[in-house]
Amino acid sequence: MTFAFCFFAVVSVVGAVCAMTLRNVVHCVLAAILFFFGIAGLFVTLHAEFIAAIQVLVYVGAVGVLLALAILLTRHITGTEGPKETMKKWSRGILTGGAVFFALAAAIWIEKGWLAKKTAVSTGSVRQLGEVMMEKFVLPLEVVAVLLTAAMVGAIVIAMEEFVKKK
Amino acid sequence: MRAIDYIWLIPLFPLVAAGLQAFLKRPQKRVSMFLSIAAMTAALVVSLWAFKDTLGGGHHDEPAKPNGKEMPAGSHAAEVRNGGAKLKPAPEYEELAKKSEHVTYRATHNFPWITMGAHDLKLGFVNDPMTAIMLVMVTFVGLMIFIFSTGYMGEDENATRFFCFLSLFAASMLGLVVSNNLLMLFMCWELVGLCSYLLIGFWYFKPSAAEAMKKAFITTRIGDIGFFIGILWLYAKSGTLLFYDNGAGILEDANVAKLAAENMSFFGVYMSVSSAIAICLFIGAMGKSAQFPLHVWLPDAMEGPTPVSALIHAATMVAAGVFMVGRMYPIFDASIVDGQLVHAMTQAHPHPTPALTFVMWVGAITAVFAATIGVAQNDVKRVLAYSTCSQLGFMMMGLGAVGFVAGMFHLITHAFFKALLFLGSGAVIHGCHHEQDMARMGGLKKLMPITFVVYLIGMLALVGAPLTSGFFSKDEILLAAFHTNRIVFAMGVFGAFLTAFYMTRQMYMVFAGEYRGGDLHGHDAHAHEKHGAQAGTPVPPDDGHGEHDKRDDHGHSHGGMPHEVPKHMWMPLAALAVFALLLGFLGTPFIGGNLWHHYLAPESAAHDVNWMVMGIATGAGLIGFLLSRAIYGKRAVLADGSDPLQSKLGGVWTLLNNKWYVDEIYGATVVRVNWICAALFRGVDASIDWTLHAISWVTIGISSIWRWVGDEFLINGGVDTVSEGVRGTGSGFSSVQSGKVQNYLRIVGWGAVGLVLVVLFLTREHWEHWLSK
Amino acid sequence: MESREGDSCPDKSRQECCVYERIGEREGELKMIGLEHYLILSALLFAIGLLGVVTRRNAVIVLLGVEIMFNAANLSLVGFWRFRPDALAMTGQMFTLFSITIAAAEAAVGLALVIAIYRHYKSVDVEEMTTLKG
Repeated sequence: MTFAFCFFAVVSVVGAVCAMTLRNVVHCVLAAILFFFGIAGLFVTLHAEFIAAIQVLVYVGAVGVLLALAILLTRHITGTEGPKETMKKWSRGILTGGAVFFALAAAIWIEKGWLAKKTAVSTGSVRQLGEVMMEKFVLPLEVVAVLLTAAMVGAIVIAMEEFVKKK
Repeated sequence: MRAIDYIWLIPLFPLVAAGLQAFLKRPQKRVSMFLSIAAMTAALVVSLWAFKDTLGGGHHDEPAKPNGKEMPAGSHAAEVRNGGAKLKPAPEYEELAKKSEHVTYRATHNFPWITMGAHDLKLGFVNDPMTAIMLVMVTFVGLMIFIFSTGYMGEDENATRFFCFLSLFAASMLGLVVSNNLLMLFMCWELVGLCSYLLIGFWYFKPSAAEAMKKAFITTRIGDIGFFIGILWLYAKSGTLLFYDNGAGILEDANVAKLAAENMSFFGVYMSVSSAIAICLFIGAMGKSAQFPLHVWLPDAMEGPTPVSALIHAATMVAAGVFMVGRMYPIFDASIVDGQLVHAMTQAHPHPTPALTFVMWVGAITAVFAATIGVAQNDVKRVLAYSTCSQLGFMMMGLGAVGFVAGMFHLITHAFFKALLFLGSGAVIHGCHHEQDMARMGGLKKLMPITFVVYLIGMLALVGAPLTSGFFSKDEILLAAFHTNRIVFAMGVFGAFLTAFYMTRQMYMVFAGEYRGGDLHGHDAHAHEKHGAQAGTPVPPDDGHGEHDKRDDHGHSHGGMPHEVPKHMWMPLAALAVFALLLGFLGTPFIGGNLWHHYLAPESAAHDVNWMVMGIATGAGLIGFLLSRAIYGKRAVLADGSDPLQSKLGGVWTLLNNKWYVDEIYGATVVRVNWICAALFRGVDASIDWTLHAISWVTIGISSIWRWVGDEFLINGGVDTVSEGVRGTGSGFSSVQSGKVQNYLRIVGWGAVGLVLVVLFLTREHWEHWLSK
Repeated sequence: MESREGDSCPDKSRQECCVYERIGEREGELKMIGLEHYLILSALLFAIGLLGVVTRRNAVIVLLGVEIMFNAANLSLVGFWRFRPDALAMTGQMFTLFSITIAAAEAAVGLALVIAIYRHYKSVDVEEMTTLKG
């Protein structure tokens, strides 16, 4: 258990770091996909198998591909190299990220006593998930469905306009 | 119909004429002349009507004077007209009035002028013998002078303005005479002063005329200070200024008694309030009638045209002072004896009040003083001016010596013959082509015969040749003086002597001998022996004029030779000459009692005829004439142009010729003080100016500093700084909005960090105990 | 659905059965992975995602960083579900499901926008898109 956690944690962190820092944007996307897999593994260690499956399906399958497509559609003619960030920018970014991490870590560490105090853990099956979704969470479900429809339409409209005009 | 109801027309006619003439243009001379003469004629007609009214005597508007005549109680105030109320005369009184000859006519018409709350300031007109005779005199003499002026001023380009001023003067003088209110009298007094000023300086472009007009006005103004003090005092004591107001007027017994009863002291001199007020009023008369020491303006007033001199400075305006004293006589001669009001003029043996004494002495001094100067003058008009001054002194002397009737009589007669003399001198000046120096005249008897005759008549009247009007009037005055104060009488006699002397001198210098000016025309002029004082036949006005006159008319120069004046100029002279001769018979005691006395003031005591006085007066005149003839008879002017008397008198002559240096004394004292004060005040003014400049300079300095510091530095600077600060801050802040989303997110991140830390801090009690675990 | 029933299981019904493991019974074991570990990991991943978002100039990579942040959040959500049971059993998982869904929709729209912007500006450099600069 511990080993699984540590393994997937490392994969996630490495993936995330590479995704954020590599110069070649295609490599970034590939690192991101690695990261998504790592997250999925972490979900598995948390006994949320269904979520892990969805994670792989949606993120790796859809979002990752989408990102890759976007990268490919927006590539510079000269190559995959984009403009370079300055060191000043990197330092500021690291500083901000570090500050956020430390703030959150401090909060977590402070509460670790309480956090560690566990009484039980929850598990559940997909069947339970479905039942809850259809009974308790049907309204959010429908709303999300509408949202997805709208997003889809919107995305098509935005991406299509130029296309229509060109014609 | 009574004249008093229409008496306001008399001053109104000339006033309207003056108003119309003010709008005429300079070339419209004939229109102007016509208006003046028409107005004056109309005024004369109404004046004659008023005069007729007063002849009746009888109806009386006031209680009888306390000279013994008793009035039935309650029947006074017959036929009063005060704003409309009319009362029937009480039958007993009418009876009494018809019988008595001792009641003078007096009609008044009073009306409220200004209403101040419950109190009215009333003005009014009065018609009584004094007014009426003055009206007739002023209008008649004025009319004669107006007619004369049409010739004399006909060529002058400003004749329109001249007649306008003449009309205005006539209106003012007539208004003065008919006024029943001291304030209205004073207003007209000032108006005549103004007209005198305007007319003296008629030729204002001459510097000497400009100086003279100022001098006249200012000198009379000094006198008016006293006059005004008198008016105020009188008003304060009496509460009214009406002369006759049905018993309540200031000249009526009730008020006069009140004034005479109160005593006051003036620097240790005790006198009644009535006398004190009278003296104050007299100071005004001193200025207006050129009494010593305020006489200095009258000779200089000769700068004006001769008709002006005749009308204003001989007959009428200067007489206004005498008239005023006559009008206010009840106040002058009032005193309280044994608790009763007594008027000095009603007493058989009069004792003059302090006021009358003052008047008498001033008059006497003036009479002698002016006459002495007249002896040594070379300008024909100056001689007459000093003569006027001297005669006014005589009038004052007469009035002061409790000779009310005598003084007023002399006023009237003097008006006629002095106007005649002045007009005659005007004719002479005109004929000699505006030559005024007597040293350059002479022999005009043959050259201007009519003028000579009328002038002679005037001269005889002035010196008091027997049976002329001047004789009777001067005699009356000397008689009054005789009975009052022998010294004054002696001074009067001396004055008569001098009058004869200088007038004879003038006759010789102007008319006798040969013409000394310009080129001669071959006329034989020999010394013409004048009528002696004994001859009694007056010379009738000459109708036959020499060949000269028929051909010569006005403006036709005869090679510089003097010529007679045209008809419309000598006819007025002739008319005046008639009066100069005949008027005297009104006042002589030999004919029907003294008509004049009965007419003017029947209640005043009359002196019996005193042959001694008459003889002394006549003798003095005769001596003067003979002495003058001795000196000037053969040759009026010496070969070197100097006066024959000059060598005999030497230094005295110089003193007299220079008018006793009075003008110079005034110049060194009063005028000098004035100049010093003026310079002093100019210095004060300059220092005020300097102070103002300094203040303004300081103010400007302060304001510049403030502008620089306050405005520029503080306010502008402050505002600029603030605005710059805001702008800077704004631009500083706007740099936050860089448009770069990543920057925004970074800030959000930091904000989130901050929030977390804050929450942790705020809930530290909650988790602190977990730290140890 | 695996259930390890212990003696302390209160309810034996299959529908609502949750297994509550008792903690702290075994001794000598390594410290168990608890919620705090997952949370700290989540925080780390979140910070890395944030780092990329504020630093990278490529708009697509920025959106990628946003996805990473989303995933970090999902991780913490699932962690809480696991270690903090709720009366309503599957709330955590529902939450996570919805989060994934919406994140995906958001990614789609966002990338469509990036495509549109790329067509207009011919670039995806976020540093160049400063028209809202004030």
